[in-house]
Amino acid sequence: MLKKFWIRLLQRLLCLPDQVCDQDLEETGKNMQHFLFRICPKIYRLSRIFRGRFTSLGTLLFFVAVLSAAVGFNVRVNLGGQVFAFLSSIFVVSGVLSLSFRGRFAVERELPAIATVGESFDYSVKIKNLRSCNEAGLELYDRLEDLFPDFATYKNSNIKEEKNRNAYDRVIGYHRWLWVVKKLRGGISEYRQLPLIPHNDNINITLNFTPLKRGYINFSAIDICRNDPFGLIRARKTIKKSDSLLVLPKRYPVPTLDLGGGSLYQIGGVVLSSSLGESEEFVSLRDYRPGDSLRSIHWKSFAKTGRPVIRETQPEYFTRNALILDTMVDCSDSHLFEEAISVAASFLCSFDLKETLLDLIFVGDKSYKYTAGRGVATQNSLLKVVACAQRAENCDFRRLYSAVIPCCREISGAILVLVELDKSRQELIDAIRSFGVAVKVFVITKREDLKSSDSTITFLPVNSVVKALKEVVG
Amino acid sequence: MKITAPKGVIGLALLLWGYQVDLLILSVAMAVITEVNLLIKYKIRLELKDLKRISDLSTIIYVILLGYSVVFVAGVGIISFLLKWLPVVFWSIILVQRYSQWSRIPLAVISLKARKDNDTSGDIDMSNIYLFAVLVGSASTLKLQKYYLLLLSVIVFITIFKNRNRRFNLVVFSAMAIVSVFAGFFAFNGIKYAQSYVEDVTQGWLADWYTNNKDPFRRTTAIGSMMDIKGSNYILLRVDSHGRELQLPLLIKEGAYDRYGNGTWYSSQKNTIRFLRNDNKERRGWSFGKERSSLTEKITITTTMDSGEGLLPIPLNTTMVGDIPHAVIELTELQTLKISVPSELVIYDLFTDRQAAPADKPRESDLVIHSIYKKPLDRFIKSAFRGRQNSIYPHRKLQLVKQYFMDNYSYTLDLRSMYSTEPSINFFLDNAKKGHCEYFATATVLLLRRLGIPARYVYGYSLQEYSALEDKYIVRDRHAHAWAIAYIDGKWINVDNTPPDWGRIEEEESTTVFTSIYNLFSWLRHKYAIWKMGLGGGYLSDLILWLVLPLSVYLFLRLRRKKILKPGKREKPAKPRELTEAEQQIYDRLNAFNIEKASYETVRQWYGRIEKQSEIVDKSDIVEMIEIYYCCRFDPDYSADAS
Repeated sequence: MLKKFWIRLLQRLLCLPDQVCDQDLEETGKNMQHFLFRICPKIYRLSRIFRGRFTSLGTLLFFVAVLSAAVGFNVRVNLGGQVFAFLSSIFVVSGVLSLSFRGRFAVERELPAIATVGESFDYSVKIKNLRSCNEAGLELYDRLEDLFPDFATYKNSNIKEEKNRNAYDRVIGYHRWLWVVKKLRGGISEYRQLPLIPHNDNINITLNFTPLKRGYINFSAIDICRNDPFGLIRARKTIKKSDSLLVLPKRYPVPTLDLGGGSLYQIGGVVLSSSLGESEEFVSLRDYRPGDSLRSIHWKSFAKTGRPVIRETQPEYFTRNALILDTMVDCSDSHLFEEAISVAASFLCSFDLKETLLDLIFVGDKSYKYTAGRGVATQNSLLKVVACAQRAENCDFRRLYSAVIPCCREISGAILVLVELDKSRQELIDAIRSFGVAVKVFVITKREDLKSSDSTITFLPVNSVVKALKEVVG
Repeated sequence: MKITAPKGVIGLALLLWGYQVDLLILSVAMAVITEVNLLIKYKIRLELKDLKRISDLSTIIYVILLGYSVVFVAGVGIISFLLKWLPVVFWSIILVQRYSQWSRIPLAVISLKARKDNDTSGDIDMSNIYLFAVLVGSASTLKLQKYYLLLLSVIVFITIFKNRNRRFNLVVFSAMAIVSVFAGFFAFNGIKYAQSYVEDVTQGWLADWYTNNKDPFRRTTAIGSMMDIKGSNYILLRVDSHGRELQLPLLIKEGAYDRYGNGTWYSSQKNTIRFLRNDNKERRGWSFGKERSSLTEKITITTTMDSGEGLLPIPLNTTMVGDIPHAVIELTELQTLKISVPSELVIYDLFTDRQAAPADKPRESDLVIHSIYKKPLDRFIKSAFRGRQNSIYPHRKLQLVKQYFMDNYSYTLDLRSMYSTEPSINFFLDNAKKGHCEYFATATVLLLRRLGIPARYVYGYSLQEYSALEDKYIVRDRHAHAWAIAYIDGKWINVDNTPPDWGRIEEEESTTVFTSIYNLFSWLRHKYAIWKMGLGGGYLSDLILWLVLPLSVYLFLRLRRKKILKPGKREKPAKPRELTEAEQQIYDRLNAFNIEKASYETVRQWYGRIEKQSEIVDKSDIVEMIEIYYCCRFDPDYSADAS
């Protein structure tokens, strides 16, 4: 309704003839959206400069100056002109004084190796004053790298509060831009007062940071700021210092699942360093027999003798499970996906990988399969992978199907974390079961009341995942 | 907003506001109630919904005030009205903050979005915002004009002082505060001056647009208008006297009109004839038919014509207009020259003869007076001539009229007190007795006609300024003038009864400290226009000025940004590296051959060259030295291990 209204308004404003069809107008609307999208970064940068330069009192005085200029444009009517002139002078004096900041610093940021979404942590920053005079009255701002979204991300971003916005905001869409940039940035930095830094000496300060997104968060620079004597304008020295922090997804307490599968023969190829016995060990070389796998050919001997020689290994038997993550979700359901990631990460942590292998399978721009356990890799490696997993929008579900099925012969149990339970997903579950693999399915859903008759399928309402996971029997 | 206003400052601001808007008693009460909370520890318990209601009520009251002001308050007074009541309407918010448990106001109270989102996380301290709202409200009138800045600065600096950067000591803070106050004072005066200047310029443009229509048959005067009339310093004409000193003021006529009504002069003769150019080599130009005598003087006028069309300014006693390439001149029956030229810049020679005057005869229309003007004219004549008007010869009549104007009338540009229901000329003659040149010229024409002397209204310029910068006489926009011409003794003569101090008054009103800068730029622009004309028209020079120049600047900036052109600092040449002991040894050894090492050569290449050019007896030690040198220089670890 609103869209039609704007289209009609646009039609009237542009004096377009009535016969211009709706598609044309929608095209114009899209162009307008593109135009506004291109303007957003410029406004954002300007506002960042403004917020970086003015303190909160400075911002207030700036707007008072603008207001007084607007109401006092005629100096013969009121004294708004005097307010404007006086405040402008204060800003000019402040601005000139802020130019006198000549500080030189070296900084060192010490971030933890990993962090978790929503859990704040402390990290330290070492600042060295390179000048031969003391520096006081400083503030520090640890700058995060700004990542700007592409048009599709911007357009399809789903803001919960969108409906509460007024028509102007919804049309212009700048709040949406801010929301997406904030989300991509992954955290909020705040100004932090610094103690006196003696000349040619350094100090260590501890900063607190709360990651708001999983994956990598990039810290780009550290600003050392000094307010002018009036405390209105900040002079700043920016020291470029890039660091990345890997943020793992949220994890919930989950029971250790008994998938019920036994040990299976593992065809060679997984090089294991475990000394627990059932490791792949070289036994002997023999001549090739028809039917032998090409993968078993010992190529060096083949080269020496001129005839195919087969490398015989000790047969391997151990438990191998799979964690299958459904990434095929619309942007409108991205919160479901985030919960799915958290559930997958939670189960991933619950596995004991000393004696078992765990395959993590999901689909992104291509199919991914990562294996951990028995010394190959640790859970942390898989957690890092999960932390960086992205939605596979508009992707054919058959890609996941074809990535999972070849592994089914090797695995004895599988956990599927799905964001929906439709026909294709049900087919995947059935296909995995047909290999005799024990399956446990978790479906993240928006609905609170869904129950499954199948005991292996558990619905986890998105708003009460923790509660629902507590009820899962190990 | 995290910062809080210092204690007592809001009270001070409220007192200032109350004094300014004549609500002192109310403001004292408000200030006391606002600040007395420092002594009262009791806090009223209010729910969030109560806060929302209070905020809504304030907003509704303000909207009602807005509606009221739109209906009942005129013009820009709406802004002052709304500002005046701002502190009262939103006082409730600050009271809530001071007297309830809410020391900060939740965002959900003032932000519609936060309210819709049920966001109760954010809050804001309203004290500073309210403080500055009160200060802006206090600026809604002009009462405390002189001391307002001082009081304002005291309140603002008390607020700033609390949040200052304590790295700087009080001396620096105070010094900067004093500098800011003085700068604010000068800035305000600058704004005031700028506003006057912009008003003047705009008014000048509007007046030009309104009155300066170059119509040879109709001229709308500012008679009856009630605004300030002020000409700008824009230079309209440049007069080159070819070394002679001109007798100033020189009146240069642009248009002549013979019929007056309701503030507008018309020409009763609407016909124009093509003024044919005399193509005689010696007298190429447009001649008025009078022979050039020995008294003929030549002046050259440079002016601009919008779109290449306009009226050609000439003195009354012009005998000939020199050749103007490609010009077409039309002559009206009242001897006004209408010119059409292909370029905007027009440069023309004029030949004037003091003894000569236009030969056209007066017409009936030159004696016509509308009956509504007769009575005040008669009263004027009665006072000036005392019944002797019929016995005085015309020249004496002119003198007496002029003398009466000098004695009883004055010149002014302020026409705001000229409102009257009777015709403006009558009001000027009987009551106001002050006006600008158009009043004097119109009254003179009507008076002369009433005295039986044919007269016309002439509009043009009074040449009265010499520019040493340009070495020319110049006519500015403010030199635009109106006067009368009278037909006496068989020729037309100028009659200018405007008090002679009009030029000085106009100059005082228009001259500023920037006039000399303006003159310089005007001269440069004039020189550019002449250069442009020399290039044969506008296209090429315009292309150079408006396209090539900005493009060049743009290109320069682009290249500079891309660091193709490196600005500013040049990199210092790197200091030559000091030689190590081992290097020094080998250098000494090789220098002994008296073959200098080229800067581009490696030691090995140098040695190769030495080997070719001179005989070396014992090569082995040099080769070994070079090897060690290379080893020390490029693989010191290896050499250390080896040793």
